[in-house]
Amino acid sequence: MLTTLIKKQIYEVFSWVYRDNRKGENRKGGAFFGFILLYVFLFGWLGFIFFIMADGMCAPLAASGYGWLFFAIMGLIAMTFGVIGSVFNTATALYRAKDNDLLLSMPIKPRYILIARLVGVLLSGAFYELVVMLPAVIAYFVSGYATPMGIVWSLAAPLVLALLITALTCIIGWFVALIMSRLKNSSFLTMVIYLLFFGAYLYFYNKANQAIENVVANPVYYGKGMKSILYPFYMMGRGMMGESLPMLIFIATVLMLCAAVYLVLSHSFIKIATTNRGNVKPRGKARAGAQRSVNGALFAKELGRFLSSPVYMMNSGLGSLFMVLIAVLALFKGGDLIEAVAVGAPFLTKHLPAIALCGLCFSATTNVITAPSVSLEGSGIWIAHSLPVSALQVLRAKIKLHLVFTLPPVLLLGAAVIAVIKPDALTAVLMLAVAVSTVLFTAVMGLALNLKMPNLNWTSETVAVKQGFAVMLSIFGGWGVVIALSFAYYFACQYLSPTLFFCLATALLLLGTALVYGWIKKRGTAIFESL
Amino acid sequence: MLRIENLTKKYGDKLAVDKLSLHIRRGEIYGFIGHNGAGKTTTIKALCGILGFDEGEIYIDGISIKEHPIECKKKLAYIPDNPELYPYMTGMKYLSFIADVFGVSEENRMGRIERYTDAFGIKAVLGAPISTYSHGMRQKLAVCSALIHEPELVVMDEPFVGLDPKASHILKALMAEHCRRGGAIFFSTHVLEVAEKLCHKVAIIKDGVLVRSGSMEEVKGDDSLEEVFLELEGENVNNAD
Repeated sequence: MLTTLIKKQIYEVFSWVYRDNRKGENRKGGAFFGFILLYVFLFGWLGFIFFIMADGMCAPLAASGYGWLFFAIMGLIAMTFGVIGSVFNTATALYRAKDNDLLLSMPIKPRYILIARLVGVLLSGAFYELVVMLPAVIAYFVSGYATPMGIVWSLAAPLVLALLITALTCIIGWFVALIMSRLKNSSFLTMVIYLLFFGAYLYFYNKANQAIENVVANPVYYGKGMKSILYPFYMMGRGMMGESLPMLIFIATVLMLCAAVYLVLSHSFIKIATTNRGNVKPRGKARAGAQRSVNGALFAKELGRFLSSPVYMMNSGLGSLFMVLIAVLALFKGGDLIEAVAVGAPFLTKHLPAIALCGLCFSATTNVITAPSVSLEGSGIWIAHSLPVSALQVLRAKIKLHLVFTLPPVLLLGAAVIAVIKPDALTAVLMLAVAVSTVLFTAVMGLALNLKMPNLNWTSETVAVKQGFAVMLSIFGGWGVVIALSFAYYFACQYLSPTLFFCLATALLLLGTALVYGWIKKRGTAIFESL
Repeated sequence: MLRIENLTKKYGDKLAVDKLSLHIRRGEIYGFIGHNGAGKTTTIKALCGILGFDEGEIYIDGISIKEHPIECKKKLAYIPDNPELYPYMTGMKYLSFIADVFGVSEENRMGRIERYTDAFGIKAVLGAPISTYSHGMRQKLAVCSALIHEPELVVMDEPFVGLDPKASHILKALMAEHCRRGGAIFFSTHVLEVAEKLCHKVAIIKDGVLVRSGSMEEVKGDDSLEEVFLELEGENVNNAD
């Protein structure tokens, strides 16, 4: 029974890899291996970045007798990466999955359901953690300081760390689920909680980067601090350097924590999974809103979907918030940065509009609201199919939602950047034109990708929002476009003036937008109707 | 009101519906009966413009659903067997959304919402999110949303599943009223007693093929509908033997 449930959970977690939900069949042969290769490449690239970081720290710290500190730092980063990466979907996937009721109604021991869910959380956390820890272990192997026992324990430690991440994720996710199950309208609070997590992550991430530079320079001081504050990581670090006793103590500590978490969860799982599923309480007299046009109604539907889902807002629209914050920051601190560039790198001054535009476009591409929007129709897609509206009207509403939430902050950030760097009027207008064109392009591209790779059979919307291939391609594709334009500018700036380059970039992006939109009108609508 | 001509639908090599023809006039309640997997839902989804089909034609009030799907959809309402509505909307927002899409004026919509939701006993929970509704409540809301724009043709897939006896009774009364006003109803059901009492006409589908159709008297003669249905199913069993 447990094996069956675990298989089902693994199938659900990784269904996006081998299941083509548009065709309703499993991917075969080349398509399957193509997917695998692409993900190996994407995570390989991330891993390479962490390897560079690890390689810079490992040998110097090991040479000074502080190899354990290297592993402790990398373990801490991996844990943060794993917890933050998986905590957002733990509350939904563990406690509020759509098939909880179905499984609880079957003759299955609740603890089996819980264990199967935990395996899903473990895999999710391990997925993120290994992106950091594998490069760290490889850096250790090639550093010349690896010992036989060090190799053994450094291979075992990532697995133990995955268990630690699972335990921590469950504790945090448990609180989130408990709070959510007791709230009537939880979207706003959930969003705030998510933002707090994310803010904390950014804070620690920034501090970690700064600390890494200092650690190599002063390992004694930081080693002392690490040992006193995060003792388990000190033990793990020593273990990974080849000392068995500290590693065994670390493993025992993690296992005890996991056991404690499991005991708490197994006693409260049914309560949380079934809270607030009873009778609907009357909410006073509901009033119909003012009459809207058909397109207005479709847009309101998309807006309601977006604002009701913290997972959707956090993963697809957080860029809007960041752009506003960066705009404020630019107005207050941008002047200092300009002065620093003028003094430190005067040759960059004439390229400031292009550099600022690169940042602006990069910020704009972090919003991927259209990318999961088709998948989010889920099992309710029959409504859109049965209504007297065209598929294009439905799809346009999705594009409009992206534009409404992305264009204003992009323009605000653009205005702030322009106010700081003070380019001439033509350059300023063209900067905004490139940024707006980028937003238009990412909006239609995200939608087109989701039409090509929809997933309507999710049991948790987190799967549609976070684990969709279209979402990942939209994010990396958006960045790819910005990087490509930046390279193009780098090579073309000797021959073209910035204004001419901005004109060409705008034209190129608008042409791309028109082509993709044309595809959506012709093929995309047919695909939507066939879903 | 609804004319289906030689409707054929395949799923890959499997023939789901084979040259099915039906004609439903205004004022008629037409029952559609068949075993599980017979092709009822496929037919219903095709005539609502949700599912494409391979051959044949479907006309709603003389308009081809293939050529003018939106015009056809304006005239009909569809209620699926398992209405998965937008869980993030409240009941009222969902009804308002449907009213907006069908262009129901503000003056008309409130009266209709009050009337139908009051009749089905869900008026008090219209302010609650649909995600908190039971299956029966979602079914009732789906029925209300189908009637809110006063469609000429109502198409329902197993409409009585999940409804309590009172709601079933109200739905039957509303169906009869709808037909008295000149509308038409086409619905699938497994409850043969309901079909026998409620329908003016009935069609029986087996393995994608229409095996019998017509007025209730024509189809069942002196027997009960259940006996006729089982006899037809028995032929299938005997043939298999």
